[in-house]
Amino acid sequence: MTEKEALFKEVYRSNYSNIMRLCMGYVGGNKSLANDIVQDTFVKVWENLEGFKGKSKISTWVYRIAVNTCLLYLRNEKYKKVQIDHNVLQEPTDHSPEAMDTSNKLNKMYHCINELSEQNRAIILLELEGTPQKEIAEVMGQKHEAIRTRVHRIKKELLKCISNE
Amino acid sequence: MNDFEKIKETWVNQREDFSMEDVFGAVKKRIKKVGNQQKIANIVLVTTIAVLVFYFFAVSAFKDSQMILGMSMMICSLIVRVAIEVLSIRKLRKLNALLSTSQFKAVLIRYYKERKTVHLVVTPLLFITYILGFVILLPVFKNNLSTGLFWYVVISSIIVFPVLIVFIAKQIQKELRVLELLEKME
Repeated sequence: MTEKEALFKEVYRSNYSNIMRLCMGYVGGNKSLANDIVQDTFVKVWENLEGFKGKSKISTWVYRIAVNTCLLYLRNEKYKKVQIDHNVLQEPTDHSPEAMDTSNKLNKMYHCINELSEQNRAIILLELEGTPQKEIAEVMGQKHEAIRTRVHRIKKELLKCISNE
Repeated sequence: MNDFEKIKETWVNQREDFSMEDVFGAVKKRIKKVGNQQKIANIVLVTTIAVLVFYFFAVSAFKDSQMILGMSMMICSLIVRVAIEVLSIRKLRKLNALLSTSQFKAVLIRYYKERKTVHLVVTPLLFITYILGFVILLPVFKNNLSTGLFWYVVISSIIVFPVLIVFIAKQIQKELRVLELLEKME
């Protein structure tokens, strides 16, 4: 295994779950489409890995590629259908009240996130992943202060939607 | 823990249905596939040009000025269209995904605006050139083909041209929708 391959595998392992959740949230829970975006994201990570200068955290760098790749998928037919069907999908693993409750909450979240604009969706998904707002601002190309205000507004909107669902 | 922290916890703890290893394998396959796709696109472009140039000489089109004009118009419009498409696909793949999202969105909007010009100006011009070339060739076809084959060429073209128009219109509609979506984003 070359040095690049080893580094890529490490980047993949440490970012896969976050990127998968981000993409799932972005496309309303459509697993097949999210999977395509995740794959494309990591193809771009591979192609650009040598150019990573370490100026930002590697996770921020991967998030940036992932959010931009999501934008590229606006042209995808599957994406268009997601917008129409609100095709949401967390089946509980078992039928215990706790599992049902979690599944119900997640379905509401997917639905409410899908109601947001593309940009707001990306911002709140990064916030849900625990990304510092300074890094969200860097990914989105906006001022830190603007992101702080925007996150506050989206959080309120999301919580209101979830409680009304 | 406030309400947002609670939903955040639910979000990050959600079950994953995808195996990390399966997706990693798919990523490796896709990395190879992307390289192959670029080679295939180049092969399509070169083959199209080679076949059309070969056909031009095979039918001795250079012996008849009307045939030179008609065939050149048809061949050139096809070559230009295929070249634009190949370059456009390459450009989309090469867009710099390392930009911030707002910069990337601006680049994408510029890309789709260029595509809009291609669709609304260049493609119709090329399509008209192609049809004109075909019309110029009709008398040549009439003189050189049997009556049955001549009418087959005419009727099949009457069917093919509208189908092509519908196909192109759908493609344009799809890309204009993306442009509209991008421009609407805050």
